[in-house]
Amino acid sequence: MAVSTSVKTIREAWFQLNGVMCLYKPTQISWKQMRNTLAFNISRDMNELEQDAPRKYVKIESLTNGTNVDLPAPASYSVTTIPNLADHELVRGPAILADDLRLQPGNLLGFRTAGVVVVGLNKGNRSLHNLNLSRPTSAYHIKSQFGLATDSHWDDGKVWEKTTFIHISRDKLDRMLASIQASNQKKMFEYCGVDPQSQTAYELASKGLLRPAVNGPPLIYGIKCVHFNPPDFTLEIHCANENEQYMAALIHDLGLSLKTTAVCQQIRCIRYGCFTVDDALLRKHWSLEYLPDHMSHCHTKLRSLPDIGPQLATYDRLQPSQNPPTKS
Amino acid sequence: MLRHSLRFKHVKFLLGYTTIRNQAQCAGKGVVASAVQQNNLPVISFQKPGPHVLDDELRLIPSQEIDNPLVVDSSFEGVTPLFSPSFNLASLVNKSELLQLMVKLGVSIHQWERKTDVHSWVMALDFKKDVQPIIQFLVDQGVASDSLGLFFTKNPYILKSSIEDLEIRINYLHSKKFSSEMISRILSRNPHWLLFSPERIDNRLGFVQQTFHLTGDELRAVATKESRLITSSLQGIKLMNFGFKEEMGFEAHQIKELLLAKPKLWLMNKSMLVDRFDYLHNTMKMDYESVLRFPAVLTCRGFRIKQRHEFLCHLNRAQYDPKLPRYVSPLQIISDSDTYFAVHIARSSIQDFNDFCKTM
Repeated sequence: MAVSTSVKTIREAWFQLNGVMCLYKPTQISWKQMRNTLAFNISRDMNELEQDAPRKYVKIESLTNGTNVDLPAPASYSVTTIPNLADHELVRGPAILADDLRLQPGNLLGFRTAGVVVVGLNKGNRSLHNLNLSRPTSAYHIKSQFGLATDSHWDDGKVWEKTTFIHISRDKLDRMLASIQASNQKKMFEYCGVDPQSQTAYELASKGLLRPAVNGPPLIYGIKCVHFNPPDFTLEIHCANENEQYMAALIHDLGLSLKTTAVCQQIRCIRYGCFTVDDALLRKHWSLEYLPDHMSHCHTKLRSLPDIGPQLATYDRLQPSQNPPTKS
Repeated sequence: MLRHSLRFKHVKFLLGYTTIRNQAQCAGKGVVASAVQQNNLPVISFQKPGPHVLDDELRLIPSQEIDNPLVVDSSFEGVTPLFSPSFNLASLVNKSELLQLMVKLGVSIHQWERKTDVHSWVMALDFKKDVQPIIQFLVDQGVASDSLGLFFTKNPYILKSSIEDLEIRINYLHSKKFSSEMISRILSRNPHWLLFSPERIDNRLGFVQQTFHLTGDELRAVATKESRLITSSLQGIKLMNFGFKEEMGFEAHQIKELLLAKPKLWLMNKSMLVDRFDYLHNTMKMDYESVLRFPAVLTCRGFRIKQRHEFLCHLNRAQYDPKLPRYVSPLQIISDSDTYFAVHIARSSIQDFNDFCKTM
């Protein structure tokens, strides 16, 4: 066990099973499968530790044979204490079941999306909940390809259309991405009921408070091209409230707006809040050997975040002295 | 269990009724029904009860034939039931010798409760009469005594079988020229085999022989190597053959070769197997001969092969042609730990390999 050599029993280890972990979700796996694998691995490793000693079973047996109703009760008994077999592993079953572990995802990635998933275990779900309240943004790398349009917007879907892409240059792409970013940021101010040209908007944006208060339409905070080698290109997107369908459709629409077509090859979440791909654990490390150390590393990371609390921009939250925004 | 707690003698004592209920007396009893038609319901007529017997359940007035309940009944065993009703076997294990012996053998009582209905009949078994002969029989046939626990966990129903049936089944195998080592391997690896009657086993062996055109020796080899093939779904075998022939494109003699080398493939999930072969053949450009030479590549999990192949491609070391230098064999792709693979075969480091996996 990686955490400390002194933890030998299941009972001790159980109290360490609280925290937030950052895992690398492989592609073609649903959250349910991921949770089941994780829960199975943890409970399997836990059950290999030292079990509690069985309770005592007191056996009282009469030493005289048979009984006659006319005689008084026999005076001699044998009293023995044996380990209670009902506590034996084979009779009672495993000490920790997969269902005993409460695992919640911080961000839900799609089936085909790989990347960082933040998971809370038992009491760690409270920290996870607080993290989610601060509405962290996620960052994605989307590997895409010009020249193809399919029904699922992925490269292995049914091909609808094939187009040329020679006319696309780097700066054409960059200009298109910049306009997408700008229109998204304008939308952000509109959702807050604030005129983007006003002083209020500047103040809110400079404090970094503009996050959607509730689950709504996806918002892109930043989008740029990190790799351009036609037909392949890779985009980096920083966003909130996103989902896999939206990002695949975004690539498709991007292709159309550049007078060509585009499909996704791979969507990878590289950051959720302060947790990046470097912190994430690969599937082969999802076991009790690596998790406790990892959870304490994630805990340190969370503690080092500035404690600003869930401050979300809504019109009602503005101070009464400030003028309400006016459309210019 | 409940039967034990409601033994007639206990009931007799509690209700003060000593004569044993036999068939003749039971026949005479009946439910008294109202002959009067009420609310236009149809009249149901029953056998009229005898004059000396009332409804057993509501027996309040002892008849003159019942003996004085204060007189000692020599066959009386005690007032408490042997086992009270329970929702698991764990509460009975401290009192039951049979269950204690099972635990000593290493049988998982917990698994019995989870997966089977064994609890409804296991308490009625007698160790010396029922269970002991079967344990002796299995050990004589070559099942290791420390694997008996696993055997009974997986197949508790054998405790209900009769020794004669089991002997007939073993004799059938001997008549089909299975040697003792073969039989002990079959029984150890497949606890369910002995539940099948000789006719069923014969049908299944015949089916496998005809489907794959196997000789007697080949059939025996396959049945010994993977006896679960014979006791599991025959429909599954047909489906898998379709997969090999139509979907993967193997020829009949190649399918037979695969069966003799790795019969376990027929127990796998067909669509998963087809996807794996698709990746090996179309993406990694592995031809049929390579797959036949190393059938184990088909049993390796898809993501492992993908990770390692893509890593080798990333390092320009994905060379699978044995005639060229720096050849990587399929066995090297699927075996050993990631660390060994990264260092010795990919000539890189495990850190690079892990970082690469995070880009996939």
